[in-house]
Amino acid sequence: MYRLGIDVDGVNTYCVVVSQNLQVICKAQLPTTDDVLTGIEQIVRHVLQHAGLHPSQIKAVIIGTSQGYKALLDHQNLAGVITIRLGTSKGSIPPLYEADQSLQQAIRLRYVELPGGHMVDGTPYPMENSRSLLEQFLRGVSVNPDDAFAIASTFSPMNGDHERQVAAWIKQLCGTHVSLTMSHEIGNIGFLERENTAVLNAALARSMRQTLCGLTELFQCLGVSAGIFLTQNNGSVMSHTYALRYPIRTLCSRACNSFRGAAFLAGRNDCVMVNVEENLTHIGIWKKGFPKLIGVGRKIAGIPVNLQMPEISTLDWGAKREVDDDALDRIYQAIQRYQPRFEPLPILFTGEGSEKVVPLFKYPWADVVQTDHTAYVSAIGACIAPISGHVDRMYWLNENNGRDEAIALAKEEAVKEAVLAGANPETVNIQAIEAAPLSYIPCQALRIQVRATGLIEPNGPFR
Amino acid sequence: MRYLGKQEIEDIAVGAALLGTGGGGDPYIGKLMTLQAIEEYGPIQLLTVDEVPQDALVVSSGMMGAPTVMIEKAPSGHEARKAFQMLEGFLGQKVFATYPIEAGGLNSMLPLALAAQMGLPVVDVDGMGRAFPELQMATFYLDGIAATPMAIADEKGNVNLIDTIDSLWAERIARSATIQMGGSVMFAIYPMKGRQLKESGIHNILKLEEDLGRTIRLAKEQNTEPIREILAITNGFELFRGKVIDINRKTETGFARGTASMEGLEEYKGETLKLRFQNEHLIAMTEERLLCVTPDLIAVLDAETGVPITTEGLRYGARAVVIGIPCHPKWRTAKGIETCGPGYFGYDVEYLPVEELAKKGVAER
Repeated sequence: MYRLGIDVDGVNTYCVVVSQNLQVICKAQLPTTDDVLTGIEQIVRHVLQHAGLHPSQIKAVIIGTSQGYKALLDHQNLAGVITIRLGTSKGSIPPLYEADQSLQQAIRLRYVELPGGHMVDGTPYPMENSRSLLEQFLRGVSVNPDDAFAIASTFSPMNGDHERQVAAWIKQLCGTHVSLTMSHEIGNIGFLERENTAVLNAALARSMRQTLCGLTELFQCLGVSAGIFLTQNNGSVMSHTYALRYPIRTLCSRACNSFRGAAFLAGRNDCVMVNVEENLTHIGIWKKGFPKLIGVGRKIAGIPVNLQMPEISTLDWGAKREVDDDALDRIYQAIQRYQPRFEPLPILFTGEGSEKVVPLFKYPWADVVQTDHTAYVSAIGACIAPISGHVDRMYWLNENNGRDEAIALAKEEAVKEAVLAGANPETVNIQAIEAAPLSYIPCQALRIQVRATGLIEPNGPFR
Repeated sequence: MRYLGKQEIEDIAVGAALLGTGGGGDPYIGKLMTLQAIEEYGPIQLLTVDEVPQDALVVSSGMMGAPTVMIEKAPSGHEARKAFQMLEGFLGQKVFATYPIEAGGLNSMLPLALAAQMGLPVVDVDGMGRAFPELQMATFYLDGIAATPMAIADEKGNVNLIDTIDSLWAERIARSATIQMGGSVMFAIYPMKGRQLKESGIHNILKLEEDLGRTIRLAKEQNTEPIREILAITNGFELFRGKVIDINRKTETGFARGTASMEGLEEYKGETLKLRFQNEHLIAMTEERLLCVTPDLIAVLDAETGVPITTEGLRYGARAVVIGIPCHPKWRTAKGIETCGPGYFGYDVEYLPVEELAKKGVAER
């Protein structure tokens, strides 16, 4: 039983083979090809041959790629997006308000406001004639087979029923194959940012579908019948059917993969990471096997989004330049931002530039460690990442549903998410719980975040 | 009179967040609404208090309730318009201009959005000179000007006209109604004459916000440190520099109460700062001494960029400079301290002006 870890960046494609007892038994790199797939095919053939493995011995293929990010920045291969907004206010700020015109044109953004949505306590607003308004709207805009839908409803993180209702209508009207993104599955409170996130996710649907179809075919040709997984922003992996629904979750996964791979190679579960690349240096924290995530104030391609992404500081300094006192000081300062007050964490350097920095870097308060396999840390990290289910939404408390019940419910949902993402149910457990109330009004709303993780089940339902 | 365009709005939003002392909600959605309104209706007319006719009717506008709810409802401006119409009908007079009730967060932006939509001018004045959580915490209340008649409107179309015996009751009744109306409402409040606004309001607050925002923006463009200039503009004092090491949040009766601890850096090394907040920062103290107490302003700024950090945005590890700014003299009267001094918020601390606390600090060092 072996796993293939594949890491695709703009320049190179890296591949590692990891055995069941987590030994890296083979690794290789080749230039990334324009179509990405050819490069993957070449490298997989190469490692299989080199490691002397039969394709049937591969039980999982895990891929980390930033192709989606590139697609958004270059406005390449994006799906057209039709946005349905459910709420009570009319003529409010439109979706992607702050995006530049060219992105809006690239996705031919069409949008409609329909009555619906919920109040803060989860009470529904009437949907009235929403269905006929939707039909009318869809008749008026030209819907291409490749278009994707984004649906955002007021307080859907509290109650997603209306988003699901509209999704069902769209399937009835446009066919069950259409690509749909419901905002409550992606983001939390903060309507415009959550809607933006749903729109971007929808825009990525086409390129993700093409990539995954290509990969599935490719691995069939190669005789590899293993499940295909993609790494996601929170440092875990998801099954490829899941990735089809949430392409936006893959955008910045490679940074986490590097952290995970480095932490694994160094045998550390808690450390401050410094990834020194040619032009940039990324610094972040790795705690209990996961990166620190933040969901507020994030932007993708200049657009405010509501999406959990790792908190990473990036310095515009890389190993291409001279390691002077100024550079060392900047790295030191960035590290200090993540250090706990007592018992500082070890500093783990990785990346191809780390060799230049480590001998000159002084840090008397904790171990400074450096990983080997630097070019492959991201592929290795992808290979060993767990599957996770993340719940981040609002719960309304009442006499029958107290805080404990709400947390229990959230835990249940997180476990379910992890299983849907491809985890073996027997391996799933709860990793982290956070609960915070609303401010400025005395009310019963509680925001609960839960993360459950499990292991890949190679014979799971994704096959 | 002058006009506010997009750049001015961007600057005002940043400056308002600074004077918002950590509270008042993120101005982001208010800023978008204002920018969109300017795009649609053109720049906003800004008047000084002297340009408002003595007997003209001026009404404050903004939101009350949970900013978290408001950012979810994506308001359209119709609500505020309805509240204004209701009040105009009741008073039998047209509103001449609107003005912000407070500096900070959402409520510094919403009157601008409304003004652009309704074609009203905005008066460069407010009732707090900072942000506070309750309706009676305004200089108008200290001067005996009633908050009511006021109108609150929700996005469903409900409008309430509230007339109360005093502003404390206005706060109680309006807050309860707000919860029933879905957690956030738009209000039209503190209707008064131009003359009263001039006597009781805090003048040139938008200009101050804009100056602060511009300073922070230019510092970023020129890669310089803006803190010194911020202190000069506000007559403020640097209280502390450090790194956030602990945040302890509890929510009781609708307030995000809590304490943030910071570990000193540079000249403050070895000291620990405690910031007590209830939506807004209210008390800054080290183990040895008091540094700044409400109603004086406590602002937490990013150590590098000077960009204000809200209480919700405080994160472990963030490096920040804490500054103290003297409040408007009206807040330093007996009634002012009673209305929003430390005692009102339940802290057993005596109010002392930040200048005196700062002087003491220098003497002890």
